[in-house]
Amino acid sequence: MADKIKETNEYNQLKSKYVGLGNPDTSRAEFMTNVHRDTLASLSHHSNVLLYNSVVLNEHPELVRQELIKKMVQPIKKAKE
Amino acid sequence: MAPEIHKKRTLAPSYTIPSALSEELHVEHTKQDSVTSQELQSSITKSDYTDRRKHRNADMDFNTTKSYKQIMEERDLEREELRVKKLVEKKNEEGERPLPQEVIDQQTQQSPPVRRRKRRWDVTPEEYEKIKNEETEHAKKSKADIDEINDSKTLQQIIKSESKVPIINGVPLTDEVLDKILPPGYIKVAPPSGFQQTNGDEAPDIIETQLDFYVPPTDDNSLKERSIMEGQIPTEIPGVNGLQFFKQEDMKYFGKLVTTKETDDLSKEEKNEINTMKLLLKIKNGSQITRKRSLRKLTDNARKFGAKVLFSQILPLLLEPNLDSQERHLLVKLVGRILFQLDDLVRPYTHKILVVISPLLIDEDFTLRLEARDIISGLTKAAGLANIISNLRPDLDHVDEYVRNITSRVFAIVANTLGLVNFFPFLKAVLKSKKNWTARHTGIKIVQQLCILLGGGNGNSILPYLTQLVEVLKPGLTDEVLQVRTITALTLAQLAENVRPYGVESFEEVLEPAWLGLRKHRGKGLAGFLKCIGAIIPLMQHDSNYEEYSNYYTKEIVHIMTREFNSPDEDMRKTILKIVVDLPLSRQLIPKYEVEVINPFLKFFWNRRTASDSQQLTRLVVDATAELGQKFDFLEMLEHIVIFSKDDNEQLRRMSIAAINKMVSSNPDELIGLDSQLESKLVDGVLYAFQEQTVQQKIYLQGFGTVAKALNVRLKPHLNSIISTILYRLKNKTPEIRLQASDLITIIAPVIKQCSEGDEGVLLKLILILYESLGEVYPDVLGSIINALYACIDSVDKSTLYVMSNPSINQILPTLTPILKNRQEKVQEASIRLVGLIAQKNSETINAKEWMRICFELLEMLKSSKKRIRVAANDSFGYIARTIGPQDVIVMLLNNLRVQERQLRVCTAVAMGIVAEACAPFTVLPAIMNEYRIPEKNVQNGVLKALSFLFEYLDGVMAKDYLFAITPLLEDALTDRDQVHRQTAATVIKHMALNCIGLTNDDYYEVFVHFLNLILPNIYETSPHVIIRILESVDALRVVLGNGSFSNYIWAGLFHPARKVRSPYWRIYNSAYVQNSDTLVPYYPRIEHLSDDEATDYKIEELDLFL
Repeated sequence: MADKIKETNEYNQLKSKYVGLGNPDTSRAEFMTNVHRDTLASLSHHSNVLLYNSVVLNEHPELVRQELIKKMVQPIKKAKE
Repeated sequence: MAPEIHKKRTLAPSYTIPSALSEELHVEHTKQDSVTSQELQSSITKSDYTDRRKHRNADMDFNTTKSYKQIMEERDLEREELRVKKLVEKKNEEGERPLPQEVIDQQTQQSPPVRRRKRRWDVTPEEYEKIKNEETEHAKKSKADIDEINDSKTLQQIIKSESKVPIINGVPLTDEVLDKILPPGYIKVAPPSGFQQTNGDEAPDIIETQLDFYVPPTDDNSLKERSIMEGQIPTEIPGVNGLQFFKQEDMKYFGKLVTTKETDDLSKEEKNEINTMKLLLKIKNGSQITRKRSLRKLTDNARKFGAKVLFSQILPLLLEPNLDSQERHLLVKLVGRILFQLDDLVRPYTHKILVVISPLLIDEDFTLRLEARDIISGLTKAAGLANIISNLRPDLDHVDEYVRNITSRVFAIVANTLGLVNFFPFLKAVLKSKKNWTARHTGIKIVQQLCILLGGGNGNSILPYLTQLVEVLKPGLTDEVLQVRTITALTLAQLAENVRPYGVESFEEVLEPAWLGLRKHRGKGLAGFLKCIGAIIPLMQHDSNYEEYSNYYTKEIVHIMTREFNSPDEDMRKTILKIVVDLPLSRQLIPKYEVEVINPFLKFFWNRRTASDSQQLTRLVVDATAELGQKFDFLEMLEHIVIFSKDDNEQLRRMSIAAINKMVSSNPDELIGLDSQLESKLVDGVLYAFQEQTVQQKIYLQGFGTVAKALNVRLKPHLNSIISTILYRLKNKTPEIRLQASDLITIIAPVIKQCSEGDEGVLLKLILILYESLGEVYPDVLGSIINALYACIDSVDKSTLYVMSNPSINQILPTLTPILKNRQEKVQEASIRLVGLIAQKNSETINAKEWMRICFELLEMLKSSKKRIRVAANDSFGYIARTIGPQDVIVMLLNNLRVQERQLRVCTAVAMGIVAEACAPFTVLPAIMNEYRIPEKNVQNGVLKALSFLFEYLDGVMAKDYLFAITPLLEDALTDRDQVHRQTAATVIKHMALNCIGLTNDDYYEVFVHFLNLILPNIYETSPHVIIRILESVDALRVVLGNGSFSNYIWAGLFHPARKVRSPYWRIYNSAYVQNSDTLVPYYPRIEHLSDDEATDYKIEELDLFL
C-alpha cells in the first residue's frame, strides 16, 4: 500500500519533469505524439544534424529549427481530411 | 484469611520472607519515591508557555460552525475586553478613585463570569441581544419582587407559617418566591417515601459564596460519562482485542464502546461511529500488530467513514492533557494519513485541526514538531490558500501572544508550501494593517518564521522576492510600537542571514532607517537593531560597490558595540558576540584596535562570571575570541588567552583551552611566529589545565592534540615533562584519569615520533608500559590503552618493529588473543584494529597457526551488533589473507556459510569478497564456485552474495576477465526456482555491468545480452526486494549494452493487451527515458502508417533528408 503510494508520487513527480513518461494507461496516440516530438526536438537541437538538414533544404539553420519547433505543436496530423 | 490458607498448604516451615512482611513491603513499593525516566523527562521539558496549549479554549463542537464574521466579532470583543481590563487595572493602581460611569458600564457588559460567556457564542447575535435584554429585565423584575417581599414584612409571616424552608442570602425559598425565580413549567414533587427532614426545627441557612474555581460542566453527556468513570475501568472492551492498556481517561472518549451493546437497532451512522471508535482505540492502545492493522483499515476507509466522524473523535483525544508522547505520536501520524486520504473533504474542519495541531509546532520534541509541520503542509495543500487564510485570519490579532506566535508559525509553513508568490499579496495586506499593531507584528513574524523554517543560507526561494519583502518590511522599522520595530529589525537580520551572500542591493533602502533606529533605541530594541545592521554588513562585503558603505558602517557599529560590551543584558551580549564573528574587521579599519576592541572585550567577556554562564554563551565567546584574534593580532590574542589557562577557576581554564583549541586548529601556521617564551607559556598552560581538571572533558584532550600537532618538532623541549605527566597519570587510581592519559598518548604518538629524530627509545618505552598495562580491568580504559598501543606501534618504523624485543610483536599478539574475547565493544574494536595493524606491518614474524587462531576469533566478531566492529574484522581478514595466503582463510570462511544466522553469513560473504580482492580473484574464485555445487540454499546464496561483493570491489579492467568464467553459475542461479537466488544473481550482474561500462567492446557484448535474456522474464516479480534488484540490474545492463539493442526488448511489451505485462514494461521504458532520453530517440520505432488508422500520417519527413 505505502509502496504503491510512493510509486505513484514518484511517477507523478517525474512525469511533471519528463513529459514523455507513460504508464499502462498511456494511449497509442499519446505515445506516438511523444515519439514525434522527441524526434523533432532531437533533430532541431543537435546542431550537426540541423546543419546537415539545412544544407539539404537549402535554408538557414535557424529557420529550419523554427520550422521543426513549430511542427512540434501538433506533430501528428490527419492527412486525409 | 490468607495466613490460614497458607498454613494448610505448606507442609514444611517456609524459609522465605513471611507473608505479612512481604505484603507490607508490597504496599510500600506501590508508592515509590523514584520517578520513571519518562515522568522525569516530561517534568524537565515542561514549561508554562507550552502548557498553555492545554488551557486554550478549543471549540470542539462539530455540529455548529461559526461564520467568519462571527469569529471576527468575537475577537473584537476579546480585544475590547483586554483593553478595558487594562484600563481598570491602571485605574485601580492609581488609587481608589471612582471609575467613570462609561467604563463601569463596559465592564459589566463585557466581562460576565467566564463560564457563561463560553455558551454565548453559539447563538447568533440577534438572539444574543434578545437573551441579554430578557435577562436584564428578568433580573430587575425578580430583584424588585424580592425587595417587595422584604419591604412588606411578609417575610416574617412567611417564615413563621412555613418554617421548614431553606434561606439563601436571607431570602426564604418558599413556593411563592420559587415561582417567581424559576421559569414556568416546574412542578412540586412529593418527597419520596421514607424521607425524613433532618433537624426539623431549623431550616439550614445556606449563604451563597462566590465560586472562583472551575466547575466541570454538568450537561447530560458528561454526567453519564462521569457515572461510567466512577464504575470500574474495564479490562476488556467488547469487540476490541489486542489492547495493551486502558487508562482512566480513555473511558471519557471510548465509554460508548462499553455501554452500547452490539445490537442491530443502531442506526447506520451510530454503527459507523462505533466502528471508528473501535479502530481508534486499537490504534491508540493496541499492540504493534493490532495497531498497524487498524491504522491501515482506518486510512483505507477514511473517505467512507467521513471527515466529521473521524475528526470529532480524534481531535478531542489529541487535546487530552494526559496523553503520553507515544499515544500523541500515533494520533498525529493517524491525522497525517487520513488528511492525505480525505483531501478536500477536510475543508470544513480546517480550523479545528489547526487549533489542535498547531501548538505542537512549539513542542520540545523535534520529531513531533516535524510531524506537525508535515500535517499542516498537507492540510494546506488539501484545503487551499483561501480556506486557510479565512480560518487563520482572526488569530492574527488575537489578544493572546501565544496564539499569535503559533499562527505566525502556521502561516510560515503555509507560505513555504504554496510558494511565496501566492502568499505574498496576503502578507502585504497584513503588514499594511492599520487597525491593530498585533496584526502587523504577527505578519512580520511570519516572515521571520519562514526564514527560520528554510534555515540559514537557504534563502534562494526568498531571493526573487527579497526587494519586495524588504520594501513591505521597511515601514515596520519606524512603527510607533516598540515590539513591531524590534521584530522588524530581527526579521531583517534573519532575512539577511538567509540570503547571504547575495541581495545587499535590496537591503540598501532599509539601511538608513535601521541606522537611525540604532541611534534611538536602548536595551532590547537596540539589540535587535544591532543584529539587523550586523547581519547586513557581511552582505556588503561580497559586493565591491559597497566597500565604502561596509567600512563606514563597520567602524560605526564597532563604536556602539564596544559601548555595549558592559551591558548586563543577556540578549545584548549574545547579539554582540554573534555579530562580531561576521563583521569585516581589520587592523586598517580600526587602527587603535588594542584599546578600542580587544581590551574591553577581554575585560567584559574573559572573566569568571562569563565562564560559569551558560554553555551557549561560552561557546559564543570562544568563537568571537578566535575571530578577533584572526582579524587583528593572532599571537597577541593568544598571549592574552593563555594566561587564563592557569587561572584558579576551572571553568575559565576550560574556556581558555577551548579558545586556544579553536584558534590554533583553524590556523596552525600562525604559530610559526611564536617566540620561545610564549611557546613555553602555551605548553605549560595547556599541561597545567590538563593536570588540574576535575571533570574530564574532551576539550582538554582536543586542545592538547591541536597544540601538539601545530608545534610539532618544537614540542621536543617540553616532551619530557609531558611524558612524565602522562606516565604519572597512567598509574592513577581513578580510571577516568588513566583513560584520558592513554587517549592523550594516542593523540601525541605521531608527534613524539617527529620529535624523536631517529631515536625511538621513548616510543618503545611507552609501548612497554602500555603492554604491561594490558591487564587493566576497566574495559573502557583497556580499550583506550589498546588504542594508544596501536598509535605507538603505528608511529614506530617498520625496521624497529622487527628488532623490537621487549616486548616483541611475537609477545604482543598472543596477549591480544584472549582480549579479543572481551565483550566490551570498544575493547573489541580496538583489539581488532591492532591485530589488523600487526598483520599489515609485521606479519612475517608470526607463524600461520597463530594467525588462523586469530581468524577464528575474528569470525566470532562478525556476530557483533556494532557495524564498525564487523567492518574492522572484515578488513583484518583481508590483511591476514594477504600474509598467510588465501587458501586456509577461504576454506574457513566457506565453512562458515553453513551457519544459520543471516548476519553471520552476510559478513562471511563480505569477508570472502575482501579476501578475493586482496589476493586477486583467481586464487579464491575456483573454491567459491566449487562451493556452489552443494545443494543447499543458504550456501548457494552465500556464494552468490560473496560474488556480488567481490564484483562490487573489483574494477572493470580486472572483472571483465572473469565474465565468461562466472556465466554458467549465474545462468544456473537465474533459472533457479528460489527468488533469492535470482535476486542475488541480479545484484552480481548489476555490479559486473556497472564496472564494465565502456570496456565491453565486441568481446563481452554477447555475455551481457545473454544476461539480459535471462533477467528480463523476472520483471514480473512482485516482491519488493526482488523487483528492486531486478530493475536495477536491468538498468545496469541497459547502460552497458546501450539503448540500441536494449530498446528492442521494450517495444514489444509497451502495448501488450494484458495490463500485468504492460506495466513493468512501462517502468523499464520510463527509467530508460529518464536516464538516457537523448540516446533513446534514434531507436524509436519508425512507424509510417498503421493498418487500423489509415487516415493519420505518422511519417516524419525530416528523417528522409539525404544529400
